[in-house]
Amino acid sequence: MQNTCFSGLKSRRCAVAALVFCYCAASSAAFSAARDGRRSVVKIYVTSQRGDFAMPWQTAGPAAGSGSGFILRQRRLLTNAHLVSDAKYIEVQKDNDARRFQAEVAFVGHDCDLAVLSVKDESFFEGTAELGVADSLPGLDDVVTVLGYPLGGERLSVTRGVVSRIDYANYMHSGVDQHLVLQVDAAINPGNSGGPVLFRGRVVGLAFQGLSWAENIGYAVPLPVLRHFLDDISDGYYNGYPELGAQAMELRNPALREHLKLPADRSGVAVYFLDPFGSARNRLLLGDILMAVDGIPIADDGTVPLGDTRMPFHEILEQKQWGETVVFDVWRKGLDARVAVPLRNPHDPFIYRDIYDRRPQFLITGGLVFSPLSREYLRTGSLDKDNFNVQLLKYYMQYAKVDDLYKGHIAFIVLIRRLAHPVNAYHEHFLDGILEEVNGRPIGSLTDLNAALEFPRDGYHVMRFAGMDEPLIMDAAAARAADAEILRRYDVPAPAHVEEKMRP
Amino acid sequence: MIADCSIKHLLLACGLVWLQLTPPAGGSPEQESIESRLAQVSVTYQSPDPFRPWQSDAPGVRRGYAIRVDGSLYITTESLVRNHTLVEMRAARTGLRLPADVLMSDEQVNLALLSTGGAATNPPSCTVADAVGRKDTVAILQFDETGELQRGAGKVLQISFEELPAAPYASLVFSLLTDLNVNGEGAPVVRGNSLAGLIMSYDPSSRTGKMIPYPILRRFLHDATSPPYRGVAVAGFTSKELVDPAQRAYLGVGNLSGGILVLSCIPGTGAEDVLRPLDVVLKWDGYEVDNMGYYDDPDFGRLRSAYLTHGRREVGDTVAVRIVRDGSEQTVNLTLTSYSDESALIPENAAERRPEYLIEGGMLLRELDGAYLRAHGANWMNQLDQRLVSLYLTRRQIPQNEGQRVVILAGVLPHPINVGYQHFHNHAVTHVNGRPVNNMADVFRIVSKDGHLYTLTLQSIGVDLVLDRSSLAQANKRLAEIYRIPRLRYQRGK
Repeated sequence: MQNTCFSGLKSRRCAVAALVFCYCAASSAAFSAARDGRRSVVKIYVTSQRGDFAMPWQTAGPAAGSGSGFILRQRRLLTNAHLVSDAKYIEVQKDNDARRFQAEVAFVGHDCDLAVLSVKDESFFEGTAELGVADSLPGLDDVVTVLGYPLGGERLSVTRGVVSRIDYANYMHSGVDQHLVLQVDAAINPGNSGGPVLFRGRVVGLAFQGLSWAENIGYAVPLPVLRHFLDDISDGYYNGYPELGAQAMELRNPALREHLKLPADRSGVAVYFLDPFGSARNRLLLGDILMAVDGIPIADDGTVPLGDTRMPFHEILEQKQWGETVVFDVWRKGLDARVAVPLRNPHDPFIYRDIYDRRPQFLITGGLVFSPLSREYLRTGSLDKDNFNVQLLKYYMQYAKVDDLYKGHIAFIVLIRRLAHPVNAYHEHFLDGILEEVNGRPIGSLTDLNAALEFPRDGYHVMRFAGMDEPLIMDAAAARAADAEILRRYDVPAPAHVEEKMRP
Repeated sequence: MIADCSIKHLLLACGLVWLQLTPPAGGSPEQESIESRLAQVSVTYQSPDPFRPWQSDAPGVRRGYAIRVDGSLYITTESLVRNHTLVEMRAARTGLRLPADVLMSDEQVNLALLSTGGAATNPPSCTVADAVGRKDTVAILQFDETGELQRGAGKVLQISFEELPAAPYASLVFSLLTDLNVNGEGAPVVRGNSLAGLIMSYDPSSRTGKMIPYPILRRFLHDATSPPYRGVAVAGFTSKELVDPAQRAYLGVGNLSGGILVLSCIPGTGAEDVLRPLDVVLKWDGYEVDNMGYYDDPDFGRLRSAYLTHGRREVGDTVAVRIVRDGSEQTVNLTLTSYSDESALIPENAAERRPEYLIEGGMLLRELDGAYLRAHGANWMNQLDQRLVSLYLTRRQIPQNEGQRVVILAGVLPHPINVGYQHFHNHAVTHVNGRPVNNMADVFRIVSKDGHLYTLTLQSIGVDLVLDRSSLAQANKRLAEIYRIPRLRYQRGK
């Protein structure tokens, strides 16, 4: 799915084609929302600067952009995470007010694309109004209003449309998360990001992304996700969505049900993969049939009844916070069992979310630049997608946990660049290789690499890469002697930036 | 690789005279002109549908050339006759078409032998050239649109050991610059009255063509007429240039100038028990190998050292190899074998043979091969499952045990019996009916013994896919009807 963020940022990740839309005059019902909105919906100016994952010692940008946000209770400003990620300087401006006030990110949830800003200057809140949050989602075909500052405009914009669909979709900001989304046919354009979607004057979502190739499809972060985020930060810390870490197969096939000895009056889904980092590990077992979640029966297609509709059973987990427990009724080896799974959100570097607000890590030796594998690096334009090593990077990223490649690693360390120098003249073909071993020591982190470089073999660093039979050999003394000269020649301020967490 | 191993019987039955493979000194006045041996070949071909292996793609037609080497025996390129359904030959200035049989073909050298099967006329054998080198002039023969013979001039620009245009195998290739707009592969390249090569491909923008040269033709013809056909010789290892002074010093060859680095040895070949990874090969069969993997060939100059095996030796020959292992020089003897694509974990199947398959309960099982991967389009590496792609890139020649292949569930033809499984495709299969499978032969064996495929275990999927035993036979019948599948299983030789 080709999604587009609607922050109006000029950075690559949020680039959209400039479109001109005709906005028709709002009806009287929308006008009320607009009047209230003018006192609570603000324009947010952001200067952001992202790390350069191809040249990790420097940065891209800075890029200037703008989006929308609105005032909630406790003088909090709610907006999208993608608008304020990697921000260096944030200003907020009220409608019909010339002043701009400096703001800071108080909380950010990259997995749900939401953020809370704080404004120190109390005078900012004079004359503002808090928007109320609705109690429930609107239904299909209900009319909703979208407020914001699309296309960089200085004045508040109001658009109106209906709820077209409520479904699960990818959240483009993290690249890997899926949550509920509210699909509306109201015009949503770059700059609308973070603006409220109102139903009967109350917030039911935040406009956040759309499809660049489709018409009249805009997505909003819906009420349940918004509530989850606000509940999560109520203790002053954002934990994020817990991960169950169990993948299950639907049991629509009668022969499979019979094979698993599931009685005819039972239904559910069969667990076929357990994530080594997930909450379910050591609680659920492969082959377990999940029949009910927190007492709600799971159908053979994996859905549960929610209101007047059916949703994937994960929606029950979506409502839970870190530290809560989910209880499954399980059919295990022909017997009933009840399994409680405490939900956690462990540090899992192999999910490969997009990285924000952190400098890319690297280590340079002998002009060879090593960096942990990341989605950002795979997106850098210089990669040859048909290259052997690049294909292997994609395999390692996708199958790290399925094929147990992650074991012994907190990251896969990749040779991402060669700062050409005579000491590394013959190492071009090792580019994009994943380090497996240096000087006989396994490499699962930059820290491992740094340590292994202290133990050259007979005066040589011997590096082995995944899938390559040929070792890279580097004269250790020559590399050390060349380091300072290489850093100077290529304007690299420091030979490394490492901020690795402890091995799980 | 070998279409018909009974070539000797066929040839003998035709009463043919065996080929004259060395040119007579100064030529022979009564020898038939080489131009008169040229025939245009029209090949109707039909490749198996890679995604529905029970049927074939629409027939197509390729046009090219063959040259008569003896009696009714012609030689042309394998890529011209690949997956042929009808081969027709036409002589100059005549519309008359004569059907021909493909006696054998070998995609590793891109050559095929055809026979028109007529009565042997017993003309003198075609002579194969033996001394054409860089900058030599040659002539290229073909027909114009009226069937009239055309003769163009060519000049040998480059001689190299490189990958063939139509198969992932390296061979000796001559590049020619020509003034002729070559209109079909297989067009003979001649020098005097001798056959110097066959055109494989032609680039009209640069007016250059790639030619299979005479040493390869000579070896192929000799091999093909001395059954059993053995194919080209291989040593069975992968290697890399060894230029980096640090690498050389670490491997103990810092004070030497030449040598290449052994990276891996292919199971079942001569190198398997003779060479080891990180050996340095200094000398091969008496020739010094430089640090980039080239040697000075007495006929063709600087060439990749693999040609010493491919072009200068035969299967079964033993060659002396001077190596450095763990810092000390030694000589080892290595016996050359033929390379069979069939012994690979993931065969290339460059000839695009119909794969063995089984359809049970709508689930299509087959082995992974290179042709199937590439059938997914130019961007196949980025389209397909990364685990399969990575296996192909890193281990395609290296099965963990003899006969190991990658059996995949290629797809599922929707039917009530397989509801819930229909989203699986291109997923490796580890077990059938609870028993491990190494290849399709295992699958056929298990299914023949058990009657049907009841359970399928997929790699990394902790729940088996199970089919209803009681309705499987009926479902198979119905599946064959609704998807119009004439054969639900195809096993070679069965």
